[in-house]
Amino acid sequence: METALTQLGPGQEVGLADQAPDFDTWVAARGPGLLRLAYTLAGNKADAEDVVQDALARALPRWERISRVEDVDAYVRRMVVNAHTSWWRRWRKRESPVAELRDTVVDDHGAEVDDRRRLWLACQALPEVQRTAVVLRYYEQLEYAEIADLTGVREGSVRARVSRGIAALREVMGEDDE
Amino acid sequence: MSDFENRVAEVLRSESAAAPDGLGLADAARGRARARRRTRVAAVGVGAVVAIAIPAAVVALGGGDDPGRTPVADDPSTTKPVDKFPGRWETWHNLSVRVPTDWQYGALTTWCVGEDSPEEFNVFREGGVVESIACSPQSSYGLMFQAIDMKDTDEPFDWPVVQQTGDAWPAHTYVGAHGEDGVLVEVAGPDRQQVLDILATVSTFGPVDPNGCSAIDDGGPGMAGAGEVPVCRYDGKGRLVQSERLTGDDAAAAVEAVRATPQEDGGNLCANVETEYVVMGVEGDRVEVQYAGNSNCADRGVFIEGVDHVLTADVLYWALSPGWTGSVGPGVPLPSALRSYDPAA
Repeated sequence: METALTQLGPGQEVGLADQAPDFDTWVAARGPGLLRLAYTLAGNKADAEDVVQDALARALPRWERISRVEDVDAYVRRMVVNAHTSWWRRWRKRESPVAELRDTVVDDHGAEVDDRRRLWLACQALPEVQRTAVVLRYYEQLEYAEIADLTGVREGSVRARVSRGIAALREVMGEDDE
Repeated sequence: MSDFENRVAEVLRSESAAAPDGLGLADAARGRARARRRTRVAAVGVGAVVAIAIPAAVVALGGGDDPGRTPVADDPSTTKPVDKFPGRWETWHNLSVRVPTDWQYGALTTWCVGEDSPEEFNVFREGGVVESIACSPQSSYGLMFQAIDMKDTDEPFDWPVVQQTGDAWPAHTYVGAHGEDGVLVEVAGPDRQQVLDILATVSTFGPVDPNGCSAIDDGGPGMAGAGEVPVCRYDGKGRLVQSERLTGDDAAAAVEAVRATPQEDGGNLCANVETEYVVMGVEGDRVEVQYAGNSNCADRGVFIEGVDHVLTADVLYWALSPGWTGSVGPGVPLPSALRSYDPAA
């Protein structure tokens, strides 16, 4: 499945298809995608950079091996998600009750933008495990089984996390189940 | 997907455009990697390490010019994995294999320096302690993990299970092997079918091995069910050397040991070093146990989700799996006894 991470511009695939890429080449091509993933997980630029740099710093000493795994993108994506989870746990961020977001976002760009902004903030306010599952499912477009592999939980748990996350988002947005 | 789910996907994609652009990302990661590096110190060995002396096994059929060779076996089963016997999973790098529950740990030459018989079964990993011996037979039964030179394009291969003769092995020993991805798993025993059954379980894995450990340290805590603790030992390159899954009372005791270790100030990291370390998954937290570093550096300790805690004997007791024969830095509080493997547990 093509994921958000693999959506690159023309030419960025050069050198990555049939041979083990060197670290700089791979980061130049895939780094922006990793940062976008980290940004959707962390919700701000500083933490996104922190998470991706941490993952890549761990990957660098092992790059000779990592660059030869079957799916380098998936492997490093897993490292980024792990780094995000570790970072989040390390600082023990308090989870914001999603309901508190309702009607709190004021935006000058009209109702549509306001709704989009509210939905984004509501995603960021989800409990960490739900937010990760939702991001991997709807941003990375991964299958439930792939998310289960990546996060180390059973597929049923992944489905439950995504379902609860979506239900919470619907509640914030004032939408009924379809 | 529903309309609402499509909206979620669209919002996540559009908002992701605000992410940093990634300029200088590789250099930034490189700088951070330098800061993470450790100081290599003269290790205090717990045993004398000598060159590995694995007895050569007859691996090819045919020829007929070797009167000591008895080609009786055929190819190992290609059905993998199978689970025909009670056992546990052993891993080295990215190959896992199931071995019978009563197999112990150590070099296949260990019997010679103790009071054991050459009929004992051991699991041995390249890099472990091998005593210098001059016994006959040189080797007992068991399983060996070894690194072999394979190109990325090389296909996995099997050595047929062949009965060995001569002084290297106990009489009527069958030896076979499976090679894949730079690792050779060699199995020796008196029961040909058992050797075949064990070799049939050799497999690569992903993303984690049957004990919940990744082949290359991915920065995570490993995977485990409720009440379980994966114990993953990595070499300095981050390659998995040994894995284990603690359960029941053992897991509870390991969690208690980790939670009891007090936090300490980080201090300064030292210069570059790559030493082995252990990652334990404790209630979802990554617990990195660094025991080879210099005592004057902050790179020794128990890092719970990156926060530095005191390295204690209790934590080391659980971090060092049975069969560990590595080395620790000076002053490391090794427990009075290392864990040994109890097949009855």
